[in-house]
Amino acid sequence: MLSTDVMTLILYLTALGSGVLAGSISPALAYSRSILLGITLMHSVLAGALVGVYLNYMTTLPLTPPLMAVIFAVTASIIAAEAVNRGVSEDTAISAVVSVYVSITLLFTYLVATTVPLGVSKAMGYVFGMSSIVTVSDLARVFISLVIVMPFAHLFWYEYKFISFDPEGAEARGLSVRFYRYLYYTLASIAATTLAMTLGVLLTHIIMVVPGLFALRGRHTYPYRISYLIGTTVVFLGYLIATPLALPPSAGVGIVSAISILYLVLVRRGD
Amino acid sequence: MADLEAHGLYLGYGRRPVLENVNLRLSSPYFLVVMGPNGAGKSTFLRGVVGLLKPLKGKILVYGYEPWKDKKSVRALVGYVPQLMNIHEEVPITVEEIVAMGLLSKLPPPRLISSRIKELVSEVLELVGMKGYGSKFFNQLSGGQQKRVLIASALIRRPRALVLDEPGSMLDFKARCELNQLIEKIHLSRGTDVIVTSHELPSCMKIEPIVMLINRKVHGIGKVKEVLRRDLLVKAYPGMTEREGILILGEDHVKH
Repeated sequence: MLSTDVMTLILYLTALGSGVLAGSISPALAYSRSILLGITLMHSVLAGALVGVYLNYMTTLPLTPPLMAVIFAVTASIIAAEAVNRGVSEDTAISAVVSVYVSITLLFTYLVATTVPLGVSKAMGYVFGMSSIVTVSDLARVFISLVIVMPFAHLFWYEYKFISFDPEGAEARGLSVRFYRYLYYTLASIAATTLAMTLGVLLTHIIMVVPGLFALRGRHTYPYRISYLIGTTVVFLGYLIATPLALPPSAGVGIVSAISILYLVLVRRGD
Repeated sequence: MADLEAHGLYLGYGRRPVLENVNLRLSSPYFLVVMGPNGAGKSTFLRGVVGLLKPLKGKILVYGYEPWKDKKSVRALVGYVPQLMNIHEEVPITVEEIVAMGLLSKLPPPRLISSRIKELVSEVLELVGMKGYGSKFFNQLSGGQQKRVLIASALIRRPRALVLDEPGSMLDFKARCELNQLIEKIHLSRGTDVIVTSHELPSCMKIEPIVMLINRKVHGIGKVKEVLRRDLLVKAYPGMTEREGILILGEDHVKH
């Protein structure tokens, strides 16, 4: 049994890791105008979690809800990326993918509700977050995701920024737009799934967007500094204010995110 | 062998041809102006030249290579400057980063801007009249300056041909004139072949370009006097009207 101090440490380390994870992928979503993709991923995460709950109960296959959520998120991002590469507009591609995954969510909500005891509430845990009961495995999951996402996000950032700026020119210069889109969408799916497991699907919608928007607004050559700063501040501050206000940590993060978004909306950038 | 050849070339999207039955043979050094109204297939032709579009039928050869099949070879020889409307200028990217990518895209990752590349960027920026602008963000520049930066990014590889998609669009006459003179200077001083799309004959140039008048098919190719004739212009520009001997070119979008 872990002591309260150790549990608190795990909670704050997870918060810190989640903030860094969000900060590592958010600029890519903001720069490539793929904020909607992040939202698509959230829908697929929920569908994947529900399918995972159902399969876990009905079969002996090792298809856990987190694993299924990752598989669904990666698949959704690849389908969206391929559709965009084939000339479908990003809005249309994302709408189509969301429709498919919402349908799967509805179907499996029904199946889980009628077959798995407490199955829907378990899946809904992914929607609203389980951050008040952060475990060592949550912490491990966040840091494993960081080890995967961060190096790739930084290694190819310059190319991805150029592709976001001039996709046709990038292709004409020999950069594989398809490869980079797949890569970043896959990294976004891994980050989205991990964050959804700790912060909840609803909050992940916000936390994946806010750091990138700050970085884009600040017009930095290398936006990661601001993205990491905002990502960690928002999550960490959210966890910090949650305790005295007797709120679940995810609610604290939600409040800080809302204030950040209000700042972005109300304070104009001086050019 | 000619340096730019097309034989019964059909280009389009999906199965629908936008440009039909193009035949041409040009030898270096050439300055080709692809003229036609909106939707005539000008950009489509350029995409075929740089290998962004697979021919539906026929063949195109750039310095002996088929762009769609020999992408690597053609991209090393051809510098492409897209239209400004295809650029997402809200992305905060500096002039130096844009120009350097012209070289770095040939190298494996991690693609870092070394001091040698900085020198080359500085040289090419000077050539296009943008010296000292390296640290500026692209969206802080005027339309004419943005075009010069995109040209520099294509030029840094020292390509044999420069392919420019409507470089004069969205510019006032003065900026358009200066840009055309810059392109002419590059053509003359470096012997770079130029293919440029335009709604009109590029202004302020001393050299006489070869004109290819198109509207879904080639209506004429050759010297200005041979091609910009009333009978051919009427076919290529459906919105054209004539008032007391003056021809007014319409800008109506072509219906496919």
